[in-house]
Amino acid sequence: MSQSPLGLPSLPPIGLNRSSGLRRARETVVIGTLICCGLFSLLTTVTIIVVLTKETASFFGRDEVTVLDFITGTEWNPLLGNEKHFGIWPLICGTMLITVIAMGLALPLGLITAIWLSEYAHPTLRAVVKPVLEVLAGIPTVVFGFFALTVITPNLKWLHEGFGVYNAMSAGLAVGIMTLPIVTSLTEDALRAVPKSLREASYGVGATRFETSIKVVVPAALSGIVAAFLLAIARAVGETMIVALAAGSTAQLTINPQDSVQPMTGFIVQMVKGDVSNFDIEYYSLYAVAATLFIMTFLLTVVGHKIRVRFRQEYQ
Amino acid sequence: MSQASAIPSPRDPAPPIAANVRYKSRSQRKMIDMGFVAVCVTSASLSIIILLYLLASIARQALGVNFETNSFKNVLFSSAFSLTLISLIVLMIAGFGLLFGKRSRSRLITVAVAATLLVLGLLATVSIVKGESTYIYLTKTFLTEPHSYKPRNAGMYPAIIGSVFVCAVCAATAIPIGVGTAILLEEFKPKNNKLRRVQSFVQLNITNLAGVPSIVYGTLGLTAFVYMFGLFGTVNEPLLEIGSSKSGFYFRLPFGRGVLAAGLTLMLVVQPIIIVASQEALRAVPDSLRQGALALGATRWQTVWNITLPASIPGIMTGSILAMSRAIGEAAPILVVSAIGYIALPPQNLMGKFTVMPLQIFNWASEAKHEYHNVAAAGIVVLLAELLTFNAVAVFVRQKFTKQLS
Repeated sequence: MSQSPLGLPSLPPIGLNRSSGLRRARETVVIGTLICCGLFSLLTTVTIIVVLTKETASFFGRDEVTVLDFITGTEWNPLLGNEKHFGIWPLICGTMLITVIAMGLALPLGLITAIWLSEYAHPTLRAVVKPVLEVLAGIPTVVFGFFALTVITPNLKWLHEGFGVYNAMSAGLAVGIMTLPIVTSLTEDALRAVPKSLREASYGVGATRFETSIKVVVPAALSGIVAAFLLAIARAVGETMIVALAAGSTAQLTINPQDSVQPMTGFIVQMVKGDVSNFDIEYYSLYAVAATLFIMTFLLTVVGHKIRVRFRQEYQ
Repeated sequence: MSQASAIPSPRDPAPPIAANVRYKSRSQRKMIDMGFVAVCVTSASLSIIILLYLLASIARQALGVNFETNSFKNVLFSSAFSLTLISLIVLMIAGFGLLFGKRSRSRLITVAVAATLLVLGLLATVSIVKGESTYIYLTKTFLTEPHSYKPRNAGMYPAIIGSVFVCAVCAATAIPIGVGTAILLEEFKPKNNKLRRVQSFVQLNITNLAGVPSIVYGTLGLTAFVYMFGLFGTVNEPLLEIGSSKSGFYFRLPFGRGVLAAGLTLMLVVQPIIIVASQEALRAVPDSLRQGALALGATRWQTVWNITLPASIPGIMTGSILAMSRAIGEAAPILVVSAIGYIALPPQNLMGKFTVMPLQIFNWASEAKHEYHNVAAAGIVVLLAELLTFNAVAVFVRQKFTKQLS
């Protein structure tokens, strides 16, 4: 190190790793890598769409099935008998029935619990309940499936003789219990995002807590609440292990909750569990069902997103 | 909002109250309020009771007590077990308070009461169970033995090791890619309008990916990773093989129904979760830190690497741990990818046959023999214990390492 004219030690020489050229090069490389990471998620979506479209196209390319039969048919028996029928409606009906039962349990209970947590409960209690809800939302769905099969079904059978070993009610209730923490947690988030000033104004004109929650806070948070509900519905539609364990495997067009039904996810599980040879029509029907499922959940997500963006109220 | 013009001037008389509107009296309104509190408390406790009943019934079956409807002991057991769980939770929370917060006497009393209740609840649970149990399925050998055709000898050792393998692959791929995407979206926001539109499209796409059912990812994994679109021959006659399938190192294309394909499929499932959690963690870092670094002449990447990332690591870690706990519990995509019932040995290498814990539980639960339901319950206890450990670690990380930044 040389001494500068003033007698002070000079600054250390600027090394190679500090040259602006290298810095810029490293910056470019890093940003390039990050962009690759970001593109990966786009690639995932594109691959999902391409795979589902291609395999569904080869499903409809077969002689046994036409697009019209698939969309309008009311009979689904790809495995049994000589005459195979591929009408999607029994599967959609099964999915709908289970979703309706599940949401009939989860949405009202979840909404009321969320209102209570956000508007009435003591902050300490809320601080305890919130993490517990997060843990409960992480319980694997196979656990709820097991619960439905070994606990809910025997209880239902005890209540009424008509329930079979596999029935839509049991699976639907289990799906409802599974989505309950999700609905509660997300709805509570939406309610808490409403600014305090609105509540205080409402109390200021003499409203009770009930009137404040129902007439001020819930309408103000409505977009968030609806988005949470749609997310829960999407989860219920895509739920697999519960319905595979508890709903049975008879694809039929019914709205009787005592019957066994087969939702779309249940059919996919039945297909991959059995020894279906790889390039038969049954194998391709799996992709057609998966594509229908994908379209349904995709629409739900998009509608939820639109609602959240379109009807969001901005508060200071 | 056209209400500004509708505001009456102070001199106007008060608008008449419509004659047909019936106003509720103050006491009526108070009654409604109280009634709603009752409804709320009922629904909240109903949810809690359902969930505790779930845990109680599973623990019961794991201990070999079979389900009976309409039995007094069933109710008694559930309440005793609920008491145990509630006191355990109170004990944990109060204990955390004692460890990290102010040491106050009321907390000590809470801990003492909760501990007493816990002991009482445990005693009650054990005494009720002991009379009826046919066989306690949750034993030490349950963790060290493979599946067996005798339910009492069945264990989940291959499934535990399989889960570890699959989750390792999933973590090693999902965390870097997910965090990278989050950094790109949060820290390198483009100024140019077109690029900004691309960015918001990517963001919307991630929201959509988070909503895709996991079984759809399973079918994707089946085509993309197991068969590799049929580009490299079939699964039985792979195009490329390195090493032997018996040894520890073995690689081939296509991947086949092995650990690697399953881990990558799970990576697709949990990636949106990691991205969203990391984004939130990065967003929580105050802007002043970034601006300080940039003002000193750091490049954007240097700012991220030295300032933003270290500050947001607790949040990113918590999100990643929670995503991994989701990955451990996922059965549907693994079922599509692996499609194997029972295996006797844990996987030898990355391409090896495997099973994971939730899949093993699913297989046991769909057996016709009722003893296997007890075995499945024992498996669920192990799985839930592992998940609780994960969650506890996540809470600990969040508590311990989060610093006040602003």
